[in-house]
Amino acid sequence: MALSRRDLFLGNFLQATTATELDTAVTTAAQAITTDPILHFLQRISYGPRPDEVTRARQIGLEAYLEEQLNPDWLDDAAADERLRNLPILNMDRHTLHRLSNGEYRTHRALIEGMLTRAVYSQRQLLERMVEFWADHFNISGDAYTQDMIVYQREVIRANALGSFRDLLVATAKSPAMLYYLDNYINVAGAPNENYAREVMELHTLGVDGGYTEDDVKEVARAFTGWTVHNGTRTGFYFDPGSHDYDPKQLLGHSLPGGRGLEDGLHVLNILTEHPATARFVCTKLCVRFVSDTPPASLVDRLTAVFQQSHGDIKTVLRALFLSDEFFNSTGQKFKRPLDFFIGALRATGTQIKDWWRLEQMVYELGQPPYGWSPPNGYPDVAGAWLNTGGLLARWNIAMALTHGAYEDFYGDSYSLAANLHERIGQPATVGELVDAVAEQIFGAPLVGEARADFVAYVTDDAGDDGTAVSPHTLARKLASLYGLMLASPAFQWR
Amino acid sequence: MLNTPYTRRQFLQTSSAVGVIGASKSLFPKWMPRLAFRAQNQRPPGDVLINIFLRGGIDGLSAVVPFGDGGSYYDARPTLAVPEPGSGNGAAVDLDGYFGLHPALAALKEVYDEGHLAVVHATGSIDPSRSHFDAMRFMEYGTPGEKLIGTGWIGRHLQSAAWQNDSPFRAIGMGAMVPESLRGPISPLSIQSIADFHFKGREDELRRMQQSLASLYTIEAPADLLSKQAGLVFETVETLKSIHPGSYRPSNGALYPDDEFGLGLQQVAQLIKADVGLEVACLDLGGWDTHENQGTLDGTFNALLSNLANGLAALYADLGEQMNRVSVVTMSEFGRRVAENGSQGTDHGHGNFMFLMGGGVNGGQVFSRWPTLAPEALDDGDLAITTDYRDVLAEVVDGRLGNHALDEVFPGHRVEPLGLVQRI
Repeated sequence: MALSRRDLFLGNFLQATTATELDTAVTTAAQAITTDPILHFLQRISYGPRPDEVTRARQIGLEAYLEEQLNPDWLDDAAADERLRNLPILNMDRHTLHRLSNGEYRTHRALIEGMLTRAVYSQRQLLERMVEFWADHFNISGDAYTQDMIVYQREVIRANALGSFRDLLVATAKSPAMLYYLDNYINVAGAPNENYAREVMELHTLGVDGGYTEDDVKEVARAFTGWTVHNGTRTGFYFDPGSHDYDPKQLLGHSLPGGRGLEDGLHVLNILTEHPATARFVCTKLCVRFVSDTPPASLVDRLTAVFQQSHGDIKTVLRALFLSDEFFNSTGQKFKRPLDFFIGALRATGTQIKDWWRLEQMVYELGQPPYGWSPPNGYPDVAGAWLNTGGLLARWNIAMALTHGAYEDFYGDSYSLAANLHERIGQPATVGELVDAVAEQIFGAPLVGEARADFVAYVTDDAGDDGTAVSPHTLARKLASLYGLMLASPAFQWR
Repeated sequence: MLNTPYTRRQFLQTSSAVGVIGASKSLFPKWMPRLAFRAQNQRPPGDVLINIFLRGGIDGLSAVVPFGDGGSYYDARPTLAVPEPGSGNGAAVDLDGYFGLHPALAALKEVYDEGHLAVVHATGSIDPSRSHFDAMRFMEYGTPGEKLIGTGWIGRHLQSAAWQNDSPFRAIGMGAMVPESLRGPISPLSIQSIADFHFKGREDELRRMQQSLASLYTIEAPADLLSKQAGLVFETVETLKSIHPGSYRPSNGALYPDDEFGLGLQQVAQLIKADVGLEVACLDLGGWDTHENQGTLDGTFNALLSNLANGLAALYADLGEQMNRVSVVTMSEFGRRVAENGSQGTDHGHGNFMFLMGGGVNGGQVFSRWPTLAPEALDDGDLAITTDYRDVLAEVVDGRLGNHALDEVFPGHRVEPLGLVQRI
């Protein structure tokens, strides 16, 4: 079993912030699409709106649609469930997982395939978005502890993604994956290991400016001595009385009496959950994920109060967020992360990737393999981290690969990809109808203005207009590239 | 021409005198008019800077061993200390009678002896933060304690330099993301692989699709950062085509490590030789957050050190004479605690070492106002910082890169030079 943290922090160790130049970077094309409140709402709560979802949201209205998404059990999810049946590893218990042969490879693969399958096919899109959010917030690098990662993602992150923040925090603290990843499993009295103690305050709760001191780090580390992993328990969590530090502790203005065991750590987690800095830190991150890289202070303040009043009830906070004016006034402000782009492209084109290696190559090339971020802070969430030359060229090339691969021998993709681009667009008679039909698949609505004219010019080779008839020859030559160009266009890079 | 040292004088380049920068006109298709008619460019007067960030907080007390400190070092590190030179297998490689290199760094001893590698010890960012993310940000911004400045020290260097040009290759981050140190108004490139940096798609539609992308992204009149980046992509693709990145062979038998770090260094060497206008390259080598089972002669830490040393040694061999116009600087967000923890590892600390490598470095010496590891000399249990890392960087910027606007690169910092480099 690979218990050493050999691979920790092997990856890029960057924390990005916002560049002011980006504030004005929203393209007119993106705005034209996303000023429609339904499309804006779906862009943010899902991995890209599908036409059937747009129709349903228009039918039942935003609030009812949000309630459905906040209560995922109400939604039938047969399409995703059917596909997940091919991934039985995702449902195995810890002991079975650790007995698998070639377990690290198989679990790693199942994790990534499971993540992408759900993100593409699940009707419970907001749940998947929140699973992704918490997986970033409580990030664990997925290239080690992969067996424990299966349980972590299922029973810790997914099970609590729309529940209570306190339950989620406690579940992460007790999970073998986290105990290994941040070294608490070897945190013992007399020679404490501070790794978890520091990160639980800096990254999981208070935030780096949340008012804790270096002494608090040392005291919290003492409080968590003895929290470790033992394969004799069902979950793997074990409190080892022999390694615990029983002396009194002073932290964050609280006194922890001496002589207690497991209670010390639980007490610390309670203090952290109820701390006002935690509410502000978590709500700021939610706003950055769902609203803007520089969210309005009014919204952060209000959500912080909601978080505190509800004692960290995640649904209550999300409801306040998604129904706020600030949210609806933030159209087109978020630059898609590479996985937003990639999953959105798969949803828009129906492309299936049949070859695992090609899939892994693509997400690596885009710079965001699922669970591939080594440091504990999670993939960055702001445009400044992702908007660069290499990332942009990778998106353009992946867009072309996804839409061309099914048709021809394009870098050997013809056997590794399958798409049904034709079926999705009906039978457009004119170039204008063709461009609109593809735009509907990709953006949820037809385009307007210069972007639309650019695509018409592309299809007609500058020799026609939107009334030009569409011939079978045109479709054969241009359809895949037209899809690809729309995915590669500026409008598709924002949500 | 490549081996000719630059004069101090900045000069306007003419299109016939240099390679790719001035040759833009013929390189770009006619439908990219903005790119085809670039203004003339100024050349930098000094070195190419290669900045290597060792992310995670490298244990400087194991990498550059203060064996001369005696008991204070050896008592604090019962399982991790590196034995003093001459004590047999696994002993430190003596540098100056007080400090020694970890044996995994032995490949650098030759560079040190040739006078092209200098070590600075007990250096770092003076902010007390032991948070990876804050400490990195402070260090890369060049403003310890101040994280709202929003620009990096290298970004400000490029912006404030007396010479300016619009080569897209002025600054490169090797990898999927651009490091914070490059943040600023001069857009850096981010490249994972220069050999893969080209357009893919259906051959008979490729040109037409590029034309549409150029139009969609309005690269002729970039209205925002995204369209600016799109223009850079086009320009970079065209330039890289002309240097045939797939066919590179390192010189002098240089053997780069077969991983992302080694490939990154090799590509930087390639870009330097191709004379595309590279001024700064940033690379990351991560994996240093060794809270447990750090090891000495085996294990992760040892392997990472070998990787670092072999990469630097390969670069040094490959560039040969051209090292005279290259300055390599390594840094890390903090060092580790002096006392090892209960897991045969080390927790987050403070002071650390830096390497400087290049033809213009006053190498062959360790620069250190060593505070000692005596308990009363420690900073909250950690190696104290007696040399602000900005003094090290400032001397390179001023003396080797030829940018004297240090007030802009390191605002609010009064620089105290140590005599690390020969001024150009």
